[in-house]
Amino acid sequence: MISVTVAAQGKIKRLVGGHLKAYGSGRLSILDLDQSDQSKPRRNEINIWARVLTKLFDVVYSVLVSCFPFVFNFLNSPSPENDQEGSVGFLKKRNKRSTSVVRYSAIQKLDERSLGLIFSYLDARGIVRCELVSRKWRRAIEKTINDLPKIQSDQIRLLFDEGEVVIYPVDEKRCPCRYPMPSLQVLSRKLRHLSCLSLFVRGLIPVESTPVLKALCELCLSPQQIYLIWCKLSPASATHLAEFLHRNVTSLSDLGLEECTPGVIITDALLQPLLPSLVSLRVWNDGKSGNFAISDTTVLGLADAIRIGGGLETVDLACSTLSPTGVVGLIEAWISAGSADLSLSISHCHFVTPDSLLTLLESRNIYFKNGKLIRRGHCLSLFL
Amino acid sequence: RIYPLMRVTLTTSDGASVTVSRQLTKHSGFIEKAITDMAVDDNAVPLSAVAVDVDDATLKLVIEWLTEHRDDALPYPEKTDEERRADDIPAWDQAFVQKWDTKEDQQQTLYAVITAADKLDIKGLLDMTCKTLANKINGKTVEEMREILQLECDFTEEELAEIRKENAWCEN
Repeated sequence: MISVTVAAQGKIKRLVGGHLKAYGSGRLSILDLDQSDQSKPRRNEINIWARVLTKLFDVVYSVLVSCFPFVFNFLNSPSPENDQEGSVGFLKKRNKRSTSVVRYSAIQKLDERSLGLIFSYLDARGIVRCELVSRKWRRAIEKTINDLPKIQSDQIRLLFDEGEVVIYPVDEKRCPCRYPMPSLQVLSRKLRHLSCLSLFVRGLIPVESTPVLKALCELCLSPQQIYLIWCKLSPASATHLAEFLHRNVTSLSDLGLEECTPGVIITDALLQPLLPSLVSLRVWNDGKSGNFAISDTTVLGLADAIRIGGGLETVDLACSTLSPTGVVGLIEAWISAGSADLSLSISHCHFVTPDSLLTLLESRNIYFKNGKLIRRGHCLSLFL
Repeated sequence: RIYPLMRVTLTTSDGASVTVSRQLTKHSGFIEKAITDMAVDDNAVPLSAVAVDVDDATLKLVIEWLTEHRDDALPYPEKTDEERRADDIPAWDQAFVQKWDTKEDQQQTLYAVITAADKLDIKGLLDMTCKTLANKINGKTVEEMREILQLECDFTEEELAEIRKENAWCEN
């Protein structure tokens, strides 16, 4: 899997300004959201009525043909005069159209649930092809999409600041594919057959945070790694962020929230359900954009996860209201049950100063050598 | 408790009735529910009366399959997504399907059995028949699938182009 650190640090300077594609593509179309939401169903409605009327006409026409065959035989008889006449020409055209109606095949009897079960035994690319077979199949795939196999990719990067989507294939030898960021509705349609090991989201702005997170909730990307960086979330999107993370709890083992604001929506409660299966947790900013609402509850939750056999490897917390007691609780849990190397970084946490932490560690007879502690062949590195 | 000698009479959509052991019907979620919920007289289950349209010929096949599988574990084991595979159909089942799933039949019987297994809620049979159909279309192109299933394309060229465009990210 591609390291998110590379993904995050690939561009050290964040590009800002009018040259960004986002201002001409992704952004604007998301702002158009409400409008297109209303106009779309109306167009469908018209289509439905048009189809109903067409069908009705076909039925009435065929009833008339069967009741008064002689009239129609006369009208449709091959005579150059009749062919020139408008109304008869119209009837003939209708007639021709109705004979090209889809031939009946017994597979059309199968309901969408059974079709879904059949599709679930195909490979993901086969399912994409099945969408082109018939309308009914496409509908059945739409309805059962969450239970169907997905095309696996290594990493999906949604770069809202640059208006770009980058998809890295699992096969490292193949080139990643870059696409311009489509409008949000189109984005979730385009991603619905995909799953990824790592989901990287950069540069959300408040107005798009709710619709984007909602769309991510509905997809089945099942990432092991979720990384949000430089995302300005709206307060209202907090519930959607929680839903999105909690929906992926079974696959998620690596979570990073870097320079995401406002810090108050990144809470203990948001992280709590994820802690037992986390291998890596990074909640970080440079100390200039406010505190996260993360306290000892989260580190003690991580400590519990280690005690029940969790393989925690990286904890990187900044700007949180942790106390030395909480941090020492995590270190003690690692000493008693840690089953992997652990890198523990605490930065910009007001209450955890090197002095206060080392004093408390010494009082528990825990001594670090050059910031490292070795137990059972594993190493805990502490960065303050 | 299920008594092995208990018998159930099933009436099909074309009026025929078949009496089978409760040992077979326990594999059908629908029949079990009908017997326990509806308290039907003399355990006679009229399949047509409850929106289950199964004809006599199809029911015979269903019963033949149930007879072979009467000792299967219940409830039917659910497979996780990783365990799902279509190439593990037991030899008896393969031979059973081959008997009637001929080229001339054009899957008509297979569709009928899938529908019956779905309506009667016989998970093992539904799973097996769906796998059989999936194996027929797996790895095939869109045109080949339409050919095998005797389906005509009801999309316009523009719609097909639209769907291809929508799924363009799946190509790589």
